[in-house]
Amino acid sequence: MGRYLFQRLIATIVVLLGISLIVFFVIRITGNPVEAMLAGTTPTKQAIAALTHAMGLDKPLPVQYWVFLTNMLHGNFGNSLYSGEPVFNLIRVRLVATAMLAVAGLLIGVVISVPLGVTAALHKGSATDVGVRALSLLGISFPSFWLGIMLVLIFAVKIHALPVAGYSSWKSIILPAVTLGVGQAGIMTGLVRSNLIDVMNEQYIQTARAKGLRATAVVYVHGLRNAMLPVITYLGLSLGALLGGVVIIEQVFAWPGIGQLMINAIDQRDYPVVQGGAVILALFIVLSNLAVELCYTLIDPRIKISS
Amino acid sequence: MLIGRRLASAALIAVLGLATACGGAATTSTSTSASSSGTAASAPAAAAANANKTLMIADSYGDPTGNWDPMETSLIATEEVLPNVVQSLTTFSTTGQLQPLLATSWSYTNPTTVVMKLRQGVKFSNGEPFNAAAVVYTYNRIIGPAGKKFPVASSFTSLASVKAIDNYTVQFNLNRVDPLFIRRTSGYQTGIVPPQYMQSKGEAYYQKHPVGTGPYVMTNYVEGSSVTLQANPNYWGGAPNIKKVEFQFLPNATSRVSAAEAGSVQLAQMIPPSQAAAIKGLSGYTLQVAKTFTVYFVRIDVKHAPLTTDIARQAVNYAINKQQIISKILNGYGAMVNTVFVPQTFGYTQSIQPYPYDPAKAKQLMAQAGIKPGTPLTFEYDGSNTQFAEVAQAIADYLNAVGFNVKLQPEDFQTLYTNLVPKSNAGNMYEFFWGGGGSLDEDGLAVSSWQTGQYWNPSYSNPQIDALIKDEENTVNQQQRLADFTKINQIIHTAALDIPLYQTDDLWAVSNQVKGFVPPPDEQVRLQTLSWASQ
Repeated sequence: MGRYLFQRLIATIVVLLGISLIVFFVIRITGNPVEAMLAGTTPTKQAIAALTHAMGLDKPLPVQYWVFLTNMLHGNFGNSLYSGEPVFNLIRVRLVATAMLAVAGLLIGVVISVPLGVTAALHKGSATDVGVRALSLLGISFPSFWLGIMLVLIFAVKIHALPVAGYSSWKSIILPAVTLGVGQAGIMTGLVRSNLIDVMNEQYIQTARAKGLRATAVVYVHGLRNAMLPVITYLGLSLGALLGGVVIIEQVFAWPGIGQLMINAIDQRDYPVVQGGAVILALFIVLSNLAVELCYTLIDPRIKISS
Repeated sequence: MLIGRRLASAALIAVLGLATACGGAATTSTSTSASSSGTAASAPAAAAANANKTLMIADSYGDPTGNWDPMETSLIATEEVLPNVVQSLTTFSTTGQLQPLLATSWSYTNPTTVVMKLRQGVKFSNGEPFNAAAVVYTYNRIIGPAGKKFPVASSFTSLASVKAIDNYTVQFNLNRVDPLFIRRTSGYQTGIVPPQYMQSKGEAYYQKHPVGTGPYVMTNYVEGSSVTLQANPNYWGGAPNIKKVEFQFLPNATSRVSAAEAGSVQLAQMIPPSQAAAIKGLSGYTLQVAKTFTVYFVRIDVKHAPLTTDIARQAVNYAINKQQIISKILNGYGAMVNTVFVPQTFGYTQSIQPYPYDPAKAKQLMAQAGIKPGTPLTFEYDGSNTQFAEVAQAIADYLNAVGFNVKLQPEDFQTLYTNLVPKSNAGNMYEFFWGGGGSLDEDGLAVSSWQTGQYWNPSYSNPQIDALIKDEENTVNQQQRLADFTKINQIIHTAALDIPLYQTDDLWAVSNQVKGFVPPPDEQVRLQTLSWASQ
């Protein structure tokens, strides 16, 4: 296990280096941010040259990359070219907002999907099962921007129960989290249902029944716990993916998440924010994948990690 | 299996625990602002009840990413809010007139020396006195090593030094003649900062807690979400009527419209023309329209055939029905223009007659220029601008109708303006717009776009234009400059380098609870002019 972890650590460093290298050079192909910054005033060639020099963007690319890399190793991701704000501060604030949204959305997904999935699995083939599967499909199929706007129209514009958008109070998270959660619930309901059906056919379930355990105990203690393994895997992997993947919901609800920050930074060619953001997001995704792998092997002893 | 199940439960609990912890963080981290916007963001009845407390503004430009030091950014998002807190020496009125603000008068004592008299009896909101020392400190920051890293420095390359003559008089020494110098002192980036506060608290602190001489004080900033201002009771121009204002960052247009429909904001800017009818039909709100300083036009790259001659470019000007574009695509929210400048721009020439819509004349000129039917033209535009995509389609249709074969090419915004246009790779013609460059002076566009070899002008060269630009840049005689610009505008018009399309409108949803609102042409909400209708 120790050796495996060491190998994964090395792999993580290689992944991060690779990402930093790709992002660093690709963003530079798209143009000089100084030109974009001066576009609103008088972008004379002289002014562009002066500001490019002052920002150190006229140094050779390998030199700039080396500076970026060594600063990064000291935890310094540089400052935003547009606001002068340290990139780490910008990303930290936004990452917290997105993580809150992702976790709340996944939580809503779990709360909806577990009872629905269990009900469908226990009534496999019945009208209830068909109904739940249809609902699950509906949840997956709703485009999040459409669902988000509909929820706003109903709960904010018509009923006035919740804010239209923003990040101003605890109420602000409800609509974006539900929008995210409905889609997640659609996916997870199917997962819970199919896994529980499989588990309920296992021999240990029949043993439990033969021991005379109550039906609910058989389902919830012996069945659901085992059926949740793939769901937990899904949750772990989703959390990483959602950090960069809820940008549409962030835009509909003006939720100040990292997706919005990154898109703006890419639009503006704010190199340090794009570079730092990509590396930090990649780190989170790699770590969440690693955590899931470790959890999985711990949860199911039949899966062994071999180096 | 028992161990497996326990760990599975532990893992689930861990995930749920993380969720709970983060959920808890949600309420904690945002609780500071919940009292302000949470209340106002409910029903219209509640909004009415709270109306005397907080004015809510739906702001379209988003968050200025964490930094309120005027010198360090160059963003419209900052420009909308910050001038209410930190003031400059001069300012532009909503009619585009340069006006005194912290400076009361100014003059060129010689072509390279500007002397400004400062307003007396003014204090920063922290009690620090405003005086010549503060102005010297602020401008020294801009032209010093720290300022050079920010775009504002590029506007002050002519400033050699600044010194206090007495407590309320400053002298700016220029290293060359700069007729735009005074206009440049209006930019929000030149907002005067309090030296003692800045030095004792540090620049990093100032970025989050800006202090100025303005009518409002920034009291709460929730990064990415909102900024709250409180009236400055000691404001030199008199305490503002509205005591508390919150700008909510809502870059999504649908969110701004919904916020007005929900009654949770009293002002919402940049309502899309397609949603204008919805606001007009909204009880308690009116739709107000600002004629902005921005003109949209199509720029022609003279290097690429067939638009290499004056008559060929005039032909495309005659071929396009701009009035129809304004009425059909912009729903009437735009105005015809004769050049690429609004009348408020210094250098505007009223006497130029726009090319009328005359397809027959266009065909005649095309024949004269030897352009055969079916000749291809490439037209590039910013693909993220959905409204302009429709305008581009209409332009293509008009040009196809007279015999061109137009290929529309959407591009990424920055790629178009920083990669393709400067390198003459943006096809025969491309979308362009200009909003005055902050100084509302023609020089800004003329230099970058018409001077030989300049950034946005890889192809056109006219020694006469170069000489006129050199002349207007080397005199502080504004009448002489105006005469130069008139000549430049006439030459550009005859050469038909651009196809001026329209002056844009900015549509606002304005609650009937608010009085004194003048829709601003420059996105700046002048808060001190507002009051509650019930007052």
